Amino acid sequence: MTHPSQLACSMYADRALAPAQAAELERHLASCAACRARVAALEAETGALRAALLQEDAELVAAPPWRRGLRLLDVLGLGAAAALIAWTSSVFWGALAAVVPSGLRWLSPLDPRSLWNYGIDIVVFIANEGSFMLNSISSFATVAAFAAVLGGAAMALRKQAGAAVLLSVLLMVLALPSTGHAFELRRSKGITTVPAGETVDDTLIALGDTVSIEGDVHGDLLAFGRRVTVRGNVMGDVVSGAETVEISGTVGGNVIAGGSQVSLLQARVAGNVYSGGRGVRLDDGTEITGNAVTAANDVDVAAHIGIDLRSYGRDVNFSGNVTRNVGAYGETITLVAPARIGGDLTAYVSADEKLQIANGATIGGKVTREVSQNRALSRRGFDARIFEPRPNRYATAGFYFGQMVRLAAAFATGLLLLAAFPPLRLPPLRSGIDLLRAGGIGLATAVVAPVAALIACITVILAPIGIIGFVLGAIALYLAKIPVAQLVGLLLFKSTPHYAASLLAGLAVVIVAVNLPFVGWLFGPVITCVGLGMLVMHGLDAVGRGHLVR
Amino acid sequence: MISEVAFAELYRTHYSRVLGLCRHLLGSRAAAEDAAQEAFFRAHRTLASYDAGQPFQAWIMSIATHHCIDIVRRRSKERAIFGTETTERVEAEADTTDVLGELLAAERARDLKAAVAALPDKYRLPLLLAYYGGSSYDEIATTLGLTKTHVGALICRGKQALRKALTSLEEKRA
Repeated sequence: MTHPSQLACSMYADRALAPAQAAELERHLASCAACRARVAALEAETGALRAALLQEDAELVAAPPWRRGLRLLDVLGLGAAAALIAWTSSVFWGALAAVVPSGLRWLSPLDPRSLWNYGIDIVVFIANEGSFMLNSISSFATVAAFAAVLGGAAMALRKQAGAAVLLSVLLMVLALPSTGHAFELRRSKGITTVPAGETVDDTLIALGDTVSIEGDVHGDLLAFGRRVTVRGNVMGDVVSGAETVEISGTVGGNVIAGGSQVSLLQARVAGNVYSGGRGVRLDDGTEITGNAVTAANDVDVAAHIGIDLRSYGRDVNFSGNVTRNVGAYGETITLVAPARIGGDLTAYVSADEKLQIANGATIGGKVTREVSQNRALSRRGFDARIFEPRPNRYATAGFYFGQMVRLAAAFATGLLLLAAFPPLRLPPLRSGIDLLRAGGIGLATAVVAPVAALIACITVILAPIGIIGFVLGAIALYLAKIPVAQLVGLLLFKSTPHYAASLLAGLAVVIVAVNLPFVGWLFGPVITCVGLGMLVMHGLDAVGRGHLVR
Repeated sequence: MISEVAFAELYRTHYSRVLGLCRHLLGSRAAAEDAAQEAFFRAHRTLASYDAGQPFQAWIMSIATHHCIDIVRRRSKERAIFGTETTERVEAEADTTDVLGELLAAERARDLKAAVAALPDKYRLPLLLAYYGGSSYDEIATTLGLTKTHVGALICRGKQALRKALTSLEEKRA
């Protein structure tokens, strides 16, 4: 007699056997006591199994408060509510403003112009912090790679002379500037230069104490240093940041320049000019085909501008020639001969008499004067902050206040982020190795993504994607500290606290860590890399591809 | 259509059971809490497709099950986490451990739960769906994308592994 299989008995005990097979098995059971006992035991066993599994753990019972996710309708509703509140408060403030002296009007938090300024400030702040992180990461990566290579070389030397020779050759090959790349990097402690007569075919990134471009650059020029001088021709855009930026050559694209003193002297710019600093000067030999936007304490514009001019400054001095409109925001705005404006002049000044139009100046359209106490260069600290030598930062109260503001800003951003994306509340790490992985992924992302975005920027078609990529990247770099803070915060607590608590605690630790004297510079890049990697891992998890990196 | 208030009530009623299932399936409290929340989020989003004639528990459990299985699949490095039907059937027949029957008393619940948690994914998932989730073999087969016999073999193997684990624990204690 053949007994039914283990599988058949097990399925029969669970009432999962097909009727025909069940009937056959029952016929066997009628004549086989051993199998009957076996099936009975199986039934008892699954009964006990069910009962044991269903025994509720006392801790499992309480349900956390129900919070449903945000839906489009909620977002629209929130938006409408916010708009309504904004509108009613602006009406309220309007009514209030009527009885308040005009000098205090800027106090209104809902003044559209200051709201706009806040918005810009936030984006600038985030992008600044992000790019600062990027800088420190790239130098950190260079140092790390260099150290690894040195270490490797030392090992090889100890073992084998041949390997060391090979390694040195390899290093030399790697160190040679490769011409096939779409951009070229020149970097030195002293003077970085493209001498007259030399032509750089690609985009050039020039870094140094003094950057002097006398030759031609066929791509874009990105120049940063203490002093940047461009006398040659740049076919693409010029992006520059330095204590003094002086451009007197020809630029095929736009000029974006920031510094203590930005001067365009006898320059020809085919695109637009965006410049900011303590002083901005566009002299009378300069021709700008597009628009010019200048923001500085002292703005002196004598240039010929093809479209519009927009100037923000404490003192705006205009003697140039603008084909269309001029918008000027300043404490004092002076138009001197031979100033010429084809369209309208809109001047925002602190008092009526602060707009002075000399006799020789001609204005084609109408002149609008807006008197406002508010704007007299609210961003005046802009230049001073960056370029003045600073005393020991730990000794200033402003430093601690600044860090508190940073903490608050990061906390607010983090709360929003964690509320909007609940999976971020838990680190995507399953082991200690994952932490290393996150660091590696973050470093790779921080190095590869900007390069990809740069390449995208260079190919004209993908340029918008590249630029969007840069901005998103900068924002991601800023956000990177949040998952790390959350991780640190969770480690600080024994039981799982509310995510706001762990976030705040973690951020406090992170901000203290990056500000530690002597070693703080090391933490910043590490935190950013690990955080960026965690963000990438979260992203991959969200699209179900987390296993690719684990 | 279920109102917001009614849904919140259903959430309170069924949360612990859903959490329990997720915890058994995923093996960690934190992951289970996330998964349970996610299951209710999904249910809330797709309330329109819920047939009010059906028991809510079955519906929410199946949503939670699908979500947890996705997570387990994602975690696993292997492509076919449930092995092949033939191998599992052959192995099930080769095993001759004694059925525990009544020996599996309620006071051993803690050991049993620990042993279940230690089972490999491929045995733990179908076993829990059957004995904790209360699903039939056919339902489990559909959820996991396997044949009914394959499910049967996996559950049979799971029970065999449990028996071994409990027996060896017993021997160690003795």
